[in-house]
Amino acid sequence: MKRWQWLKDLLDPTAGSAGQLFTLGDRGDQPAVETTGPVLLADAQTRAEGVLTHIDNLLGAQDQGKKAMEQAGDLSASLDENVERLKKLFRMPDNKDLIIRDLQVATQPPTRAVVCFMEGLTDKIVINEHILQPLMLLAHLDHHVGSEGESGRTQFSVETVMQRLLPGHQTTEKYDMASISESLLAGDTVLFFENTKTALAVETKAPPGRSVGEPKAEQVVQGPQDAFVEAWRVNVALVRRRLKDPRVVTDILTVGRVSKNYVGMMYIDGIANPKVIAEVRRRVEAIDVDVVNGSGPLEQYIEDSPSSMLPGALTTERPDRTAAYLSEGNVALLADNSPYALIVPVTFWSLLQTAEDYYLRYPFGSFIRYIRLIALLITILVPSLYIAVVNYHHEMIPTELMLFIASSRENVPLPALVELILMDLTFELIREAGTRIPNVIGPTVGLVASLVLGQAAVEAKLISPLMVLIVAVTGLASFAIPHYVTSYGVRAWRFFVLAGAALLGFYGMAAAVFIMVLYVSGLRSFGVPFLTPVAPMRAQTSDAITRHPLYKMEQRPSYARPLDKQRQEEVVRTWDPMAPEPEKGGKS
Amino acid sequence: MIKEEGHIGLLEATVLVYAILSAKLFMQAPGFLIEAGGPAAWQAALVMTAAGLLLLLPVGALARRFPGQGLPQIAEAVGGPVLGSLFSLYVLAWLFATTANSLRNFTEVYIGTILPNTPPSVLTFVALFCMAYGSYRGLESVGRATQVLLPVILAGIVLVLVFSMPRLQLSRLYPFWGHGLVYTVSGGAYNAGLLAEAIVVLILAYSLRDAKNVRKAGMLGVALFGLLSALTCAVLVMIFGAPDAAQQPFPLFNLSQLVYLGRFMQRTEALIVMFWFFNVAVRLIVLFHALVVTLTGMLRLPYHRPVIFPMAVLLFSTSLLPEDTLVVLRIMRDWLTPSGLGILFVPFLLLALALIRGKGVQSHAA
Amino acid sequence: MRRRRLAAFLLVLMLAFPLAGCWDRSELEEEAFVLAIGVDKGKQSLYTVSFAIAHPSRLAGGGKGGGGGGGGGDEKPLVLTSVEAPTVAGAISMANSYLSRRVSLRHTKALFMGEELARQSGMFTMDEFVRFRQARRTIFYIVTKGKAADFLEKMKPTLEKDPQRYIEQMTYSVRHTGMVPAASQIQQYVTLVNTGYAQPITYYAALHEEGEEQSGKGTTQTEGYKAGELPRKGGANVDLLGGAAFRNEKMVGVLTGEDMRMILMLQDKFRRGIVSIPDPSKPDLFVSLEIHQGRPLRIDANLSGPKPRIHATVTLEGELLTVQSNADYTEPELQTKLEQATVGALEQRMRSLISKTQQWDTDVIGFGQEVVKQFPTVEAWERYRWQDWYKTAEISADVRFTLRRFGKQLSPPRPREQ
Repeated sequence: MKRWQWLKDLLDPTAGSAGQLFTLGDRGDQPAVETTGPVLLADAQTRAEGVLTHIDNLLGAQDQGKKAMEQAGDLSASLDENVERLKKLFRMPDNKDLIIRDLQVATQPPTRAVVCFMEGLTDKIVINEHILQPLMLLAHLDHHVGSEGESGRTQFSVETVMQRLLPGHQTTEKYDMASISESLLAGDTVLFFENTKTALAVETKAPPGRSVGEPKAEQVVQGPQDAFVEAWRVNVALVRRRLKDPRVVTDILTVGRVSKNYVGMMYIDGIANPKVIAEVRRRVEAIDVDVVNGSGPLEQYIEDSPSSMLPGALTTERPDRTAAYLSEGNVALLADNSPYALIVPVTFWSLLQTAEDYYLRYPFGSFIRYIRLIALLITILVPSLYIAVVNYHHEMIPTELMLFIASSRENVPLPALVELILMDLTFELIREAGTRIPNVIGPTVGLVASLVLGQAAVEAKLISPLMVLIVAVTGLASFAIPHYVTSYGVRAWRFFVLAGAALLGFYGMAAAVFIMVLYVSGLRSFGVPFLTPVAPMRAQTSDAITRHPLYKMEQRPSYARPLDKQRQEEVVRTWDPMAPEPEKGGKS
Repeated sequence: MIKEEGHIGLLEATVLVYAILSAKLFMQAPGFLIEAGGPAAWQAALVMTAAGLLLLLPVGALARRFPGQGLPQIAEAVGGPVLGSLFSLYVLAWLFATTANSLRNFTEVYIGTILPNTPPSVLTFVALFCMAYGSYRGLESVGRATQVLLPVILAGIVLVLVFSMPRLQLSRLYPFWGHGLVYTVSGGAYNAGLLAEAIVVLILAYSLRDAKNVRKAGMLGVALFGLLSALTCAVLVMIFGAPDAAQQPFPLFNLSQLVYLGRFMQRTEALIVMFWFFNVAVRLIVLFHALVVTLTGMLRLPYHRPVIFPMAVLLFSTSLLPEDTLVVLRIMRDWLTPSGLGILFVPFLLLALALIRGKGVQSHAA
Repeated sequence: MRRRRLAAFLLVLMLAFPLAGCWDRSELEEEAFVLAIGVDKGKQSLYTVSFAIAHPSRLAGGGKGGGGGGGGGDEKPLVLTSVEAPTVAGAISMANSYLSRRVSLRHTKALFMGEELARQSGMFTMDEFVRFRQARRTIFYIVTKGKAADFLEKMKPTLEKDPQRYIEQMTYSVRHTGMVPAASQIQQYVTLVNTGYAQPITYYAALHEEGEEQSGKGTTQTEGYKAGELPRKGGANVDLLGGAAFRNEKMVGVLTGEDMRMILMLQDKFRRGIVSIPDPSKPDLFVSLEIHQGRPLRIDANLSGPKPRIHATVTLEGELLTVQSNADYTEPELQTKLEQATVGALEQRMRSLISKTQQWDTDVIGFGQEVVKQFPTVEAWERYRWQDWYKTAEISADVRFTLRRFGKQLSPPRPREQ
C-alpha cells in the first residue's frame, strides 16, 4: 500500500516538491513583522521594567548622598521579581545553560537567597564548597559580638555576607542587570538576596581550554617551548612570569557587542610611550561591531592600512618574544580565544626576526638573519630574473649554459613564462593542500607531489628541468620567512615583479621593484615608519639585520620612542676572565 | 604650506641630491666633459664642481632667513608678486624642460641599449607612472626608499668602475693639460650648468627640519657627484681614449659592456643597467615632485596631488617632441646647460634682494 | 558600483595591449647564436662573411637520452654558412632569409679576418662592431693566414667540444708563455687607432697542415716560428702564435712568437715564458730558462736632438730549467756567464724586432705612450706627429737579467767517468 502511494506521488505531475521541502521561503526580503515582533516586544518589555525600577531607585536614593546615588541600579527589592527578570533575559526555560538554585542563608533569621551560574563555564567544586557550604551550613557558626558585649548569631546584611560569610576571593557588588548578565556570561556566580537591591558576584571562572603546549609556527631549537593558549589569563600569566616588575600593567578592554571578547593590553608603564598607549586604547575602544573573534580580526580593525600587503602589527605565539618587545616599549594586545598576541608598533625588520637570533651567539645570530634576508630577496627576484634573462637578455647567460637551456627547451611546447606560472600555481596548490589536509594522510601528499608532479612533468616534456629547480628554490626560500602573514604578502609581490619582468625585461623588473620599495617606505604602523631603523637612519646599534653582542646593545630601539632609553649599563661584563679578583684572598 | 608632507633628514636630502645628479653620469654628461677637456676631463669635472659649490653658497643663508619655506614662497616674499613670480616661472620652465628632456633621454638610453624594439611611449609611460606614484606618496617615502636602495645605486657606478680596472692605461691621461688650461677651465665652468638640478634642494627646503641642513645637503650632494664624475671621466679617458669617448652617446654603458673578468663575469651589462634604473627613477621622481611643488607654490594651492596628473600628461607629450636622439643631446648641451648656469645664479640674486629689501627672519646672534 | 566595474574593464583592456605583443621578447630557441664571424674579400660583393652558428643540442649534449654528447663525433657542433654582402649587417639580413632562427650576435666571441683582406683594405668594418648594439667590443680580433672561411671550416679542437671556448682558452696562454698579444679585442684595436699613441697588434692564427715538411727558418729556437710553421704533429690543428702588426687599418707584417715576447717585455706586460739559448760553454748545446719580469719597465725618451732617442730598460729574473752540457751554472763565474749570454740573446732579439717594426713604420711596441707624456697639450702633441718620426728614431733596449733559482739540482748529473 505504501509502495503504491509512493509510485503515485512519483508520477503525479501536480504534486510538486514545493510543499514538502523545507525553505526559508522569504525570497530575500526582511522577515515579516509577525516573527520579529514578539521577540523585540519581549525584549523591550523587560528593558522597560528595568528602566522603571531604575528610576524608582534613583528617586529613592536622591536624598541619601552620592554613594547611594551611584549604587541605585535597576534591581528591585523583591527577590522573585529579580529572578523572573533574569529568566526572561536569558530566555529560560528554553535556555538550559543557566542554573538557578534556591537556598537559605543560615543567619538569624534565615534569609532566602538564589544562586545563579552558567553550567560549563564555572567550577562546580568551588560553588559547592565555597559558596553553598559556607552560606548554608557554616553561617550559623559565626557569632556577632554586639556593642554591649552580648553575642548572638549573625544578622543578615550584604556587607556581613561579603565580609564574613562568603569566602570568595573576588566578590563584587552588582546593582544592575546588565553587569549581572555580563558576569554570569563570563563565568561568575551571582547571588540574589531577599529584600536587597544589591547582588553579589563571586568569581568562579573555569572555562574549558587546552594546556600550554609547544608553538606551532614559531619553533626554535634552543629556547623555551611554551606558547600561548586560548585563555587570555593564562597568556598574561605566561608573560608576567618573564617580567617580574610591578610596572607591568594589564588593562582589560572589551570588544564586540555580541562577543564581548576580552582584550588584555599589556605594557610597561615608564618605558612605553604614553602616546602609543593612548592611541592603542583609542583604536580598540572605537571598534563597534558584533563579533571580534580573536587577534586576527582585531588586527584588521586597528591597523593603519588593512589593505596593505604587509601586516601592521606583529602576531606571535611565543611569550618570550612578547616579553622582549614589552621591555622595549611596545604594547601587546592579548585577545581572549586566540593564541596569538599582537604587538604594536612594528617595523619591517621585526617581521624577519625570530627569537632564535637572540639565543645564539651574535655571529651566528647575524648569520641566520643574513640568510633570511637573502631568502627574502630570492623569493621576490629569482623567477623574474630567470624570465628576464631567458626572454630578453640572452647575452647574460654564459654560453655553455645558454646552449644547454636552448637545447632542453627545444622539446618543450610552452613559452618560458607560461611554464613558470604553471609551476608556480602548482606549487601554491601543493602548499595550500598541505595545510588543509588531515594529519592522517599528510605525508602521502608530500611524497606524491614532489615525485609525481615534478619528475613526471619533466619526463613528459612539459617543463624543462631548470624550471623545476627555480620554482623549488623560490618556494623553499619563501618558507624561510618567519612571519606567516608576511610570506603571503611577499609571494603576492613576486607576481607583480614577474609581470614587470615578463613585459619589459630588466627595465620592467626594476620598475616593479622600485614601486614596491616606494610602497613599503610609505607604510606606517601606529605612526612609526615601517622601515625604521634603516630609513630613517638611526645611528645607534640598530638591531635590524646585524645582531650585535648582547652586552653592547645598551639602548632600546628608538622607533617606539620609549621613555627610558637606557636598558643596560655601559659596561656589562665588568670582570675579565683572565684577571683574578684583586685584594680578595681565597678566590682563584 | 603643503599639507600631507613629511620631513626628511640630512642624510636623506644629501642622498636625494646625489642621486639626482649622478643619474646624469649614465647619459652624456661625461661625454660633454671629455669634449670640453680632452684627456684633462677630470680637471674640467673638478672645476665644474668648484663652480657649482660656489654658486650654492647663498642657499644656506636663504633657507635660514625663510625657515620652513620653499623656493616659490621665498621668491614671492622677496620679490613681490610680479618679480617673484618671474623668478618662479623661470625656475619652473627650466625644470620642466629638464625633466622632459631627461625623461626622453633616459628612454632613449634604455631603448638604445637593452630594449631595442619597444616603442618609446611604453617606457615613458612606465617611468611616468613611477614618477606620479612617487610624488603621490610624498617626499618622505621617496627619501626613505632612496636610502634603502642606496647600496644598489652606488653599486651601479662603483661596480662598473671597479670591474674596468684591468683595462686602465695611465698613458691615455696624457697630455696632462688636455687642450690647454684656459679651454679646460672655461669648459668646466660652462658645464657647471649640469649641476643646476641642485636647486631642487632649495625648492624642497620646507621639508627639512633644520635650515642649515639645506646648504649642507646641497653641497655634500654636489661634492660627491663632482668627485664621482671626475673619477668616471678619468676612467673613461684611460680606457677609451679622449677622442673616442667624446663620441659616445652612452659612455658608461659602453664601459659596462666591456666588463670581462675571466670566463664567468662577462656580458653582465644588462644587470648593471638595471641598477641604473633606480638612480634614474629617483632623479625623475624628485624632479617631478619639485616641479609639482613649484607650481603648487606659485599658484598658492594647499594640496599638491591634483597637480600630478595634468603635469604628467604634459610631460609625456613634451618628452616625445624631439625628433631623434641627437636633437635631445643638443638640447641638453646647447640650451639646458647655459640656462642651468642662470638657474644657479638665482639663489644669489634672491639673497641679494632679500638683503637689500630687508625681508625674512634676521638671524639672531649665531 | 557600475562605474567601478567599467573602470576595471578599461584597465584590463589597456593591459591587453602590452600583453599582446611584448616587443623585445624572444625565446632562446628562436635565435641562432653566432659564435664567430669570418670576413674575407668577396668575389661578387665587397665581403664574404661567414657565420659559425652554434647548434645547441649537438654542442651542449642535449637534454635526455644519449647524454654522451655527439656520439659519432662526425657531427659538427657548429653550422657554418657564408654570405657575400657589402657589410656585415647586410650579411646578417641575408642570412636570416635562409636560417630558421633569427641570427643574433650576442654571444659572438671572435672575429676572424683573412690576411689578404687585412693587408689590402683593412678594417673599416670596425664601425659596425662599435655601433651595432648586439656586437660588443670584447670580441676577439684574430687575423688568419689564408681565408677566414676555410679556417672556420677546418678548425677542429681536440680537448674541447666548443671551438669558441677553445679560442678563448688559447688567448689565456699569454699568461704563461707570452707569445701572443696581451689583449686583442676590438676595444683595444679601436682605442689604439683612435688615439694614435701606438699601433695595434692582433692575434694571428693559422691552420696547421699535417704532413708538410717545414723547411722554414731552420732556427733551433723554440720561439722563432710564425703561426702555421711549427714543426709538430697532432693536437688541435690551429696555431695561435705571434701576432699581426697593423698600421692604422692595414696589416703590415707578421710577428713571430719571439717577437711577440719582446714586444710584451717592452710593453711591461710580460709575465713569464720559457727561453732557450745556446749554451755559452758549449755552443751546440742548449740551456732553457724560465724568465719572468723583475722590476717594472723603464723608458727614457729624449726628444731634444734631431732625432728622437728612446732607451728602454727591461729587468728580468729567471729560473734555470735545463742544462745539457755539464757546466755547473750554480758556480758564480759560470752563473754570470750565463746571465750575460741570456742578456746578449735577448738584446739581439729585441734589436731585430725593433728594426722590423721600424721597417714597417709602425709603432706597435707603444713608445708613443711614453713620448706623449712630455707634451703639455693635445695640440702640441698633434703638431709633433710622432708616427712620422718613428721610422728614424734611435731606439735601444737594455736587458738586465738575474738568475734567481736553479731548480731541484745544483750540478747537473753526469757519468762518473767525466
